Amino acid sequence: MPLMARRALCCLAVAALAVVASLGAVVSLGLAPAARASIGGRASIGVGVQADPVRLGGVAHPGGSYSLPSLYVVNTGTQTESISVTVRRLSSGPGRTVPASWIAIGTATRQLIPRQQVLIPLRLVLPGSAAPGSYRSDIVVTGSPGVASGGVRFGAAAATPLEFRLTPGPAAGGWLGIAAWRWWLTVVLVLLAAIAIGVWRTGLRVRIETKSAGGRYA
Amino acid sequence: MRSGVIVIAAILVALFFFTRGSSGTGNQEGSQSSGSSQVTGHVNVVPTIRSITVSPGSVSFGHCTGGNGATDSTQGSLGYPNATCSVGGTGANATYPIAVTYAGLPGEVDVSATDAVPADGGTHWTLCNPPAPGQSSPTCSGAGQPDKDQYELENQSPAGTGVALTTSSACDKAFAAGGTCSAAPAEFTKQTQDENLILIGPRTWDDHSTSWTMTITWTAIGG
Repeated sequence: MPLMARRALCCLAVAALAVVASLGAVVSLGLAPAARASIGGRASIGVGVQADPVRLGGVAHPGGSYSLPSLYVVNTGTQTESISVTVRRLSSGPGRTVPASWIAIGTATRQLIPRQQVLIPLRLVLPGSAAPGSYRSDIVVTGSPGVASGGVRFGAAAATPLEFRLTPGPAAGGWLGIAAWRWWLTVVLVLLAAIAIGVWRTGLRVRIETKSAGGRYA
Repeated sequence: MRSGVIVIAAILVALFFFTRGSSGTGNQEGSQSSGSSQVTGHVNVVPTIRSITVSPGSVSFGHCTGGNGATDSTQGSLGYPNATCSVGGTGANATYPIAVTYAGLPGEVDVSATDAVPADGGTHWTLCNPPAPGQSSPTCSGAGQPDKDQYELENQSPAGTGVALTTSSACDKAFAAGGTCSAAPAEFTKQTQDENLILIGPRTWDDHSTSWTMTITWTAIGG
């Protein structure tokens, strides 16, 4: 009798397993195509940029060349994409439009793998004839997949504002794009170093002593 | 001399106690007693990037109808004159297979498209729009329909809102409720809209290619 009971229990367990397995098969087959696609991971194309505007810290002058804060870009899609950076006016509002030729973009096109982030250097190069005023445009980063033949290719783009103010006067930026005051500071430091070395080589020594109120030397 | 040393020593001692006092305040908030218990704090912050993601990365048109006689459309090939293909179908059985997701601080979503380029790089189909006030793209010159080497492209949301696409970025009226393109994700997370595409082909065309490609770009812009 116990043997019969064990066999019956075994049969019941096997039957239960079979029912569970078949139910599982029904559920997995019953998924809607869209759900299956999302579980499988649909390819996507995406790009993100910093929300903060790219803004020159200070005023610019005609003929000057200024380093702008680097632009943060991230690939938010699931496939490798090539990104391109352009300067275009998308936003409305006051301010002159920045001519695209004024912005030098470091490596304007490159490949980004999914989730890869890069900082793209930007430089403002103003012609001598640039008109004074407040300027505003957008830096647009566009991500697109590889070459597709036939059908529709999608692109994803994100824009962040570009802002600076231009006033008349000579460019403050000095040689090699380094501010003039930095050059002057460097010259003064070099002169001081030369004087110190000169004094040291002459053998001249200066001894500094302090004297207490009682006339003793410390 | 001695008084100077005393003053410097006093400043150093004061700085020492000041820095100890500052760090001590932080520790008191982090733990309840001198034991090993600690509380881990988490804080969510507003996003510092604005992004847009389109899924899938590419599609092909189908559901083609229209044309005339020998140049009638087939299911997957556009006929002429002025036949129609779509991504997702039209009418009651339409689906919306393109997911456009905006993430970040509130802003808006614009959309644009390019001319259709044949596989051999020959004569493009120029993107055109139905005549309308303030129309920026070329107007379709075939009595409101695309003429020779012209085509028209529209997107649509399940709510029926949409826009005729132009080569310059314009508000994607399919993106948000009420035919707007504003993106204001709840809690600065994500806002997704499903869309489809409808293409109206040229009256006729010059190039003999049988495969054409166009690019549609969605752009996230600050508000």
